[in-house]
Formats: sequence, C-alpha cells, structure tokens
Amino acid sequence: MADEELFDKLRRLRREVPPELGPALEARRRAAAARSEQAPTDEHVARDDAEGMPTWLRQRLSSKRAHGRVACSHGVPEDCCEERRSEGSYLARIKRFSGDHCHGHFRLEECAHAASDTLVRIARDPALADLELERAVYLDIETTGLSGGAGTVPFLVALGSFVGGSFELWQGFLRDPSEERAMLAEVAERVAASSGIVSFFGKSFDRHRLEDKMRLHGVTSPFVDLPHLDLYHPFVRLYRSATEDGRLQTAERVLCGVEREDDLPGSFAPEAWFDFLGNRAHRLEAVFRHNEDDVLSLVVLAAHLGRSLHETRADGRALPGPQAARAQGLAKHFARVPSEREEALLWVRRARARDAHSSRELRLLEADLLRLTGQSLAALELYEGLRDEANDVLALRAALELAKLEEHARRDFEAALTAVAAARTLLEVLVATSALRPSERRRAEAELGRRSERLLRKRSCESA
Amino acid sequence: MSPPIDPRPEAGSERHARRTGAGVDGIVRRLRAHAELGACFTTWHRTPARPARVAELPDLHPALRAQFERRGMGELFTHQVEAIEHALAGRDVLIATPTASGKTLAYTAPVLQSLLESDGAARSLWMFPTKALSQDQSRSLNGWIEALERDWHSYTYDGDTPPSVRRTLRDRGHIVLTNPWMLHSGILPNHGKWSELFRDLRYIVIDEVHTLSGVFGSSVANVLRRLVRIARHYGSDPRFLLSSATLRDPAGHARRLIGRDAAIVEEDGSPAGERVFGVYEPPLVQPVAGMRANALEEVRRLAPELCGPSHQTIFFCNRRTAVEVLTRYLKEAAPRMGLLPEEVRGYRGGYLPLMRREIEAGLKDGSIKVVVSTNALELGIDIGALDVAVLVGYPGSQASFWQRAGRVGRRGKTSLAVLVARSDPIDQYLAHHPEYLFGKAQETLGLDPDNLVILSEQLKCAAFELPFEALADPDGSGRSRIEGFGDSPHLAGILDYLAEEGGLLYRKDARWFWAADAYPAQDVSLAGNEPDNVLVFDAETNKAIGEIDREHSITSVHEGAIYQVEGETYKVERFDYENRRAYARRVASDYFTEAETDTEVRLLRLEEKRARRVASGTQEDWAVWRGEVHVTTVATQYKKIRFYTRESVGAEDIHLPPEELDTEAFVLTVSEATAQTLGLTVGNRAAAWRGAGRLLRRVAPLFLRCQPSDLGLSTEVRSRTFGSPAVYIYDRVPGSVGLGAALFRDHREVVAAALDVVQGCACQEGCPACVGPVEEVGALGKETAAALLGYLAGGGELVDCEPTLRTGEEKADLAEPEPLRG
Repeated sequence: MADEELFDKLRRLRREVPPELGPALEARRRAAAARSEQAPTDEHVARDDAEGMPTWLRQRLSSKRAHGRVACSHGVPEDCCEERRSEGSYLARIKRFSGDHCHGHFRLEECAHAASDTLVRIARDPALADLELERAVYLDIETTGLSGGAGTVPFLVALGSFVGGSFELWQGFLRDPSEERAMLAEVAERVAASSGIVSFFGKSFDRHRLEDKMRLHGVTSPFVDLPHLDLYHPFVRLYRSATEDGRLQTAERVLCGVEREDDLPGSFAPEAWFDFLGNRAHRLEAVFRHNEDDVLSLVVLAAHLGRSLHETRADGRALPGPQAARAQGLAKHFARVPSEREEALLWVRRARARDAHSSRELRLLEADLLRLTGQSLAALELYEGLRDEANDVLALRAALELAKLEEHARRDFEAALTAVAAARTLLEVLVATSALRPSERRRAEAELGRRSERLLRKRSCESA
Repeated sequence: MSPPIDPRPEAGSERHARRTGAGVDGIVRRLRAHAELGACFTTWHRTPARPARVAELPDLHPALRAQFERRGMGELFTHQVEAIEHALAGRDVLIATPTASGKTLAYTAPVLQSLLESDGAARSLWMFPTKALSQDQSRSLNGWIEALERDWHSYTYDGDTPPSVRRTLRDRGHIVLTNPWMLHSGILPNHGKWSELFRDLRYIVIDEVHTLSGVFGSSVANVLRRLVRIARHYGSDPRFLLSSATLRDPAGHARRLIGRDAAIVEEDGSPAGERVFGVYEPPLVQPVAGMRANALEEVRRLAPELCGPSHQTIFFCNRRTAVEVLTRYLKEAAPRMGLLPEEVRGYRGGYLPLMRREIEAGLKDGSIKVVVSTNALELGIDIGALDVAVLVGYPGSQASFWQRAGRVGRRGKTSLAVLVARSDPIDQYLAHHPEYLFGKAQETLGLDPDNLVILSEQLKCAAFELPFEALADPDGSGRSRIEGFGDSPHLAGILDYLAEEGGLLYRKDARWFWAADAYPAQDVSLAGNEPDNVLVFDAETNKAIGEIDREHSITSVHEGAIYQVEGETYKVERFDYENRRAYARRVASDYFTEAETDTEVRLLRLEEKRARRVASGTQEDWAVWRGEVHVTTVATQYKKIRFYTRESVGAEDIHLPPEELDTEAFVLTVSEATAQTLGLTVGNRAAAWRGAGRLLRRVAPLFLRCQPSDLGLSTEVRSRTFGSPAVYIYDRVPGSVGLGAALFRDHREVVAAALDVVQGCACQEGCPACVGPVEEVGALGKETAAALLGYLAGGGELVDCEPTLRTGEEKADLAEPEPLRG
C-alpha cells in the first residue's frame, strides 16, 4: 500500500476526516473554518508553514498565540554550547550573575542570611538542617506536559548554584528527545555534588519527572539522600490567605517585588519546543528566560522565607510582604503542634495587633490556644465575646466551648447549664437559617444532649 | 426480604423426605420417568468417570519440592507436569484445559522456581480478567510464599490500590497481579517508576486468554507487544505462561496474541466424575407459529425436581433481571422443595462485595443449596464443586458453556447439567446436536492485533513509552524494518501518519519520538470507540440517564425517539450529533419507536473467492467471497408502535448523517439461474433471501467467538456489484478483527447448521427461532429459505477462483458510490 493510500485509509478508519458529512454538519464546519481564518494574526505570531498542519492543531495554536506578544526565532537558541559526555551530547547555556545582582528587591547573596532553623521549622523537615543555601542547587524544569509518564520530556533543566561569589545558572537543553539520557546524567552529577535541592513545588513535580526518566535511562537518582527544600509549602502556609493563588510568580511578586516583563507562561513551553523540533519559528528564547526567572526567584524566595521568624532582613530592614497574613499563618502553623502552642499564641497576638479588624476565626484560634495552654479565664472571656456578637458557626463553636469550660474548668454546673441553653438557642437560630451542614447539626445536638444530661446528674449529686 | 421461616422442619416433612433421595442419579431417573417433563428432554448424554493421569514432579528446587510433597502433591497431573517442564525449559506455554483442572499450579511452580533460583531477584507480572480473580490468586500465592519462608511479596495492583502502597509495590513486589487496563494506562506509560519490575521480569502470566478476542483481545495483544518492548529496554526477556479454556486452535490464538509460538498443553490429566447432560426443549404452545413455552417458566417447573436439601444446584441466567425473577420464584417455592428460603440465593455483579463473599462461603460450606447467578460465577471464583447446573439458554460460547457446566462435578460423584433451550436458532440447534458441545472446540476467536485502527491507537501509546526505530536492513531484504511490534507492513507508514497528520510524533532520521502534550493511554480504550458514545441526558435535570454506542445512536436517540430506562419512557427532544449528546424529557408514552435503516455495502477490494460450477458446464452456480467493504447505514424513518398491541400509530422521517464503516465482509452470491431454479422468484425472494441471511448470521456464533450483534447483515436480491442475489455479513469492528475471514473459511459449517435449524424447527411458516416470523418472511419464506440452504449445503466442492468480478468495468464501479434509497 502506498503511503498516500494508507494515509487515506487511516483517516477514514480513525474518523479523522469524516468521509461524508450531512449538509447541516458541513455548513457548520465551513462556518467554523471561516471564523478561524478571520482570527487576528500579528506578524510576530504568524507561523511560516502553518499550511502543513492539521486544521485542529492550527486552530488550537492560533487561538493560544493571540495571548502572547513574544518574538519568535528560528533554530538553536542563542549562547548555547554543545556539551559532550560518554552518554552523548546536548546543549547547555551558562549564565553568571554577581552575588549582588538584584532580583526584585532582593540581592541573590542575601540567601546566605536565611536562618537554617527557620527553614526547618516552617517547612517541618529536620533534614533541612543539613542544607546550606550557598551550596544548594536551585532546580526548575520545563517539560512537554504536566501529565508525567515516559513520554513527557524534561527538555529544559535549570540548575543554579553559587560558585565563588557569583551565581551560576546552567540550563541544559535537548535538541531532540534522543539527547535526554546524556543530559540527565549531567543533571544527576550536578545535583549529587550539592548539599541539597531548592525548588518550588518540585517535591511533587520536578523531582519525579527527573527521577522517573533517570530510572528509565539507567541513571542513578541523586535525589534520594539529599535534603530538599520545597518553597511552595511554607509559602502557602504563611501567605496563602493574602494572595490570589499559590503560584511562584505570585510569591515572588508579593514577597520579593519581582515584576516580570513579557513573560511567556509556562503552559506555552511544550508548544515552543515542538515548534523547534518541527523546524518552525519558535519562542524558546522566552521559555529560557522564563525558566531563568523562575530559578532566580527560588534564590530570593529562599532568602525571604528564611527570615520569616525574624521578620527583618540581614541589614535590619523590615521583611517585605503582608505582615498580618504572615503572623496569622505562623500562628496556625505552630498551633498544630502541642509543644509550639506558646509560640502560636505569640503570633496570634501579633496578627491581631497588625489587623484591627482581625477575623473572628483568628480570635477563636486565640481562645482555643488560651484554653489549651491552661489560661481558662482569658479563654472564657474571648469565647463569650465570640458567642454574643454574631450568629454564625464560630459563635456556636464558642458556645459549646464555653459550656465545656464552665463544667470542667470552673466546675460551675449552673453556669454550664445556662451556657448549654444559650448554645441550644443559637443552634436553633442557625438551623432555622440553614447555616449548618446536617453533619454539624447532628454533632452539635449530640454533644449538647450528652452534656446537659451529665450536668443535670452532677447537679443533683451536688445538691444531694 | 425473606419471610420468616420455621427453622425446624418436622419429621415427615418435605425436607425430611427429600433427604433420602438417591443423589444425582435419582434425579435423572425421576426426570426421565416424569410424565410431562420427561418428554421434553431431547437428549441425554453421559460421560463416564475418568481416572486421573499423573506423573512425577518435574525437577524443582528442593525447597519447592518439599512444599509440594507436604501438600500431598508428590505427583501431579500429566498436563501440569508437561506445562511446568516447558516453562522450566524456557518456552512460552499455553495450557488449554477445562476449568478446575489445576492450571494455576502449573504456572505458580515455574514462578516460584525462578524466585528460588535467583534468590528473590526474579519478577513476574500476572494478569487476570477480573479483580476478584486476582485477589483470590494473591491469597493463594502468599500461602506458598509463607510456606517457603521467604521475604517475597505478591501484590494486587488495580484501581483500588491506595497510593501509599503503590510505591512499595513498585519497588518490592516480586509478583504483581493486575489487569489489562491497569497495565495499559497505569504501568506501561509510567515504566520508569516500575523499572525494578522490568529489570528482571521472567514471566508474564495471563489467565483465561480465551476471553481475549475481538477488539478487546486485539488491543490486549498490542498491550503485550508494548510490555515486551519495555521489558527488553530494561534488559529482560520474559516468557509467557498462558492458560485458557479448551480452544479450537490454541497454537494460532497464542501466536496472534503474543506474536510467537508457544508450547501447547491440552491433554487434560485431571480426574472427573461421571457427568450427565440433558437438553430440555420447552413444549410447543402454539404449533403453527412454532412458539414454545418461556424458558424461565419452564425452569420453574423443573426446579422441584432439580433442587433439594441434600445437594447443591446452580442456575445460570443470561440477564440480571432474570436472576432476580428466578430467585424470587425459587425462594417462594423453597418449602415445597424441602428448602428454607435463605438456602436459596441470587448472585450477580452489582451486589456488594461483602454479600458476595458471604454467598461464596455459603456455597463452599454447603449451607446454601441453590444459587441463581449471571456469568458472575462463571469465571474461576472458588465456590467448590456443586451437583446440578441448570443453564437457562446457551450462554453464547462453548467456553462459557463449559465454565458454567464445569461448576458441577465432585470427585467420585455423578453430576448433572441441564440446558434449557430458548426460542433462538442456536439453542434450537444445540437441542438436536449435543455432539457440537461434546466434540472438539468449534469456535474461532477473532483476533487481529494489526487492525489498522487498533494498531494505530496502540502505536500512539507505545511511542509515548519508548521511541521507535527502523533498522536499515536487518534481514538482508533491502527493506528497512521496525522490530518488536508484530509484522504489519504498515508500521512505518502509521508512525509517519501520526507524525505528519496527527502532529503527535517527531521523526528524526529513522526514529520516531513522542512529541505532544498528552497522555495517550488515557484516551485509548481497550474495548473500542467509547469516546464516540452518545450520552443521553434528562432535559429537565441535566443528569445523564444513559449511554449508547455510536452506531446505534442514529436509531435510538434521534429526535422523537422514545428512549427507555428501566421501564421509564423518555422522548428525545434534541440530538446534538456533533457533541455526542442527546436530551430527552420524561413522558408517559403509550408507544415505543422503532427506526428503519437502509444499509448499503460498497465493495472496496476483493481478497478471496471460492465458487461452485454447475455440473453440466462452466457456468458459476454459487460463490463465496471475502473482501474489504465500506458500509453506509442511514436511519430513514421511525415508526411509533403502541405497547402490547404493537399497533402502528404513525411514522416520521429521521434526518441524521449516515453512519460509515470500513471493514471486511463475507459475501455469498447465487447465480441468477440458480435463484430461478430454487424458486427465489420475484415477490417472495427478497423476504426469503433475507430470512436465510439472518439465520446464517444468527448461527455464525457457533463457529466464531462473537455475538450475533457483532456481525452486520445486508442482503440484496439483485446486487449491482455482483449482478445476482448477494448476502453480505460483515465484521462491525472498524477495520475488522477477522470475523469476515473466519466466516469465509467456515461457511460450509455455518450453512449446514442453518439448514439444520430450519429443517428441525417445529413451526410451519417461520418463527423467531429460525428464519423469522411469517410476517417478515412471507408465507413461502421458510420453505424457500430451506430449499436455498439445502441447495447450498449439498452438491460438489467449491474451488478457489481469482477474486475478480466477471467484466472489466467493475473497478470503476467499485469507486463510484451508489445512491441510497430513501
């Protein structure tokens, strides 16, 4: 079978070209085609050989392209040199930044002042005690997709590290998928020579993409025994309440004042590489820059987060970023561990001091912490305020806690019964306004029932 | 809920009386002597008890040998020994012996041997068609491992495996039990994570490979190609250990499935008790129409004879609702059979796992006396051996039949299997030809891994996993070749297609790499074109109420169609053809709809032809053909038909695009002269011709492993292509999985079976159990169809011919689409 004949047959069998559409469908298809031809295309964006591509792909690409105003280029990205190893060759671009290079409001070298124990505590990972930020590799990769699996190619891997007084950014790049093994072998060596890894969401993504591919190629993974600081989790813990999302670009902007120019979103990276492979005009230059910016942001973000507990930079200036959110985040973070409740209380108070309209939620947390650290009277007062000033779920929680405290801490059964009655009234209001989930309602009802029964028993014992 | 029961049957009660029955022999005696029921048995067949044939243990590791001896297995059945020896000699093996002959042991032994020899380094991957089976096996394997006192692990990896366990399983699972779906979409695309498994993969064990046919089997054959390719990448070269029910052509099936020759073991050495088999044909209730009593009702009449407190009986129904209905009947009738209602249980998919385990245990320990099941109890779930099996209707394939019948038979005791025939051509055929069941396996499994649709989809998945490379000239033929993915000559062409047209691959010199932001295994189904299915939504609530496949959508969810779900009627308001969605509103409809279609088969290419010449001369008498066809089906109009009365209350047109299909067909043509002689004269010929075609299609599953609905039918009284009457029976799988070719090969058997059915049928002028009801085939339809089939079945041999049409112009004709009627 000649190729053209085979192609025809495949098109028909795979229903990729519907053989004979009905008139209604045909009309709809023509209309759709006409629409896509009118789509605005600017000069930078127009692809020179768009004709050779399937319609669906062309349409998808052209609709995406309307977003970006990033220049295209042809061929191998600039300043790349071939690196050779016994496993094969690939390209690499090396760029050096002086230690006082500013990325946003931070100098790269400021990460030397990040406190190791701060990182250990906010990331809750004791292994990080061995991580020296000046000897770490800062890792970020660009892949052909997010799904993972053997067919997802990490075509650009950036490793940043401090060499002498300057910061060296190494970007390994695949000219085609066959170079993967050689580049991964190099990456493994470079990572293994470091004291640990710094990434953003890399514990969940970058590391596994690389590790799976290394196993596939028989390259020993360097990740197993090295400490890994994933900045995503501390950032989200401390600042998520004050930011619109948990992305790296949000983190770098809000905390370090990094503003990117003409950034190409990471989701365009696969397309850029496929264009490069297909010998078409591509936007890899922008992908390299995006990747470079990501790595520089890792450095300054580590510098920032490593000063979270001091709340000052090395030179004594205040640490930028939303202070109230930080205090609140730290309060919640420490509140989870019994031995850190005193510290949590400290941060709750700071948070309340920084935000006059601090939320009821925060005050409930403070009350809970007071109760748990044995300061029942102070807790009681706070709970009372919370219960009386609004009719919401938090008020109900406060009311339930009040009854508990009256019964157990103050052992005032009359007062406890009054508190139970107040909680009941509140519960009725909430049920009437459908403010409760059925499960919350059942739980509250059961708790109140048990408590009032026990209180009545205790009271009668006492009077007897 | 079962009604309350008096737990202590009195002496002299039915239960007491029935305790003293004379076992299965007594049941058979009573049935044969029974005044009414006895006469309905068309056949009784007795297979004498067969002793075990055993042989000495093969040369196994001492620790394993000791375990065998400790379990009282100092000797094994001959087929087990044979299979183990093949495996130890490094051959791929297929053990094709009946259910319960001990196949599991035959592949457990080599796997454990490899672990012992390699000091725990060897890995194996086991695949089962159902989840329950793999869990059963995992337990039994762990029993062996514990007894051997080794720190090895066998794990089940399926959709229920928690993520926390997955990692351990990947790195430390010596034996991984899984299913084809997980292998396809979970393990293979992520083989980097599974490198520990692939590095030293010794065996791939696949159970019940007779279930691997059609689109599913052809897809799985490609999944196995992917598996072997990946194993080779990591430096291992696994052997296959396959097991199946008895097969017609086990060597051919194994070759198509794994792409190489396997040693075949099919001489069963396990012992069997005496088996009695009877076929019950429900009595005629309306002799003219040939209508017989309902099979389920008849089972109700038979039940008191077949059930009792001193033995266990299993009923197999083909539909879930039938299970529920029969279970209720039998529970109600329990006291009259000397049983307690809770001793009668139903069993089917959809019951909660806990309940299923409880029923299985009850069957094993004998506390449940009667169970009514779907095919859910057909595959190897361990319920012990029972005494009496009743099959309500033929289950559609020999393997299923034997698996159901194989549920009975205890060592040293007689067992009984009864097939209750329905009004269906195949059931009718079997009622009079029990030798079909007892002879050798008859069915061909349709399996074609090189079907272009399946192959191209699977090549996507394979390219995602590892790049492809064409070797310049590996065999000195001067042609380049892609190795390790079968022998299709189109591999390079398909890869180029995926690169150039699909934009999915990147070609560099002679290598193809995956280059797309996608995870293909997610979109490639093993069972066919599911993404094309149409979802049916309730227009009011916007909730999905059903799903229907592509080809049936044009006849069941067109605008105006009445769509039925569990007795509720919905009227389709809008069919969004392009987005594969239909919107229907609940209505109280007193009619249902039936769509009419026009099907046209256009011949694309003829591959083979066999013909018979008229005795007196060179003229062609009749012929069979095999070729590629393009089938166009248009839904033309639908009729509204009142429930119960079947009175037609109107008809409307359907406006939908045609359904197109490229596939392979078997064609039967009869010369114009012969057609005249046979009385296929104008008037009745279309009806008779169609009746014969329909019957051929319906009995074809006796020889092909498929459902009648897997075959499409088109009949033409005067085909423009052939210039004579033609019947096309085509494979409904796009690109075909070989059903057309199998029909071409076996057409004589199919014609003979069809003739038997029509001759043996008690009706006078046609009925649903043969050529179709008289309303469809006409008054002379049955007679004419019978004469035609008789003519085709008799006479001289067919000879191979050049597969061309008689004149030279047809080539042009073939390309020209013929206008459709309507």
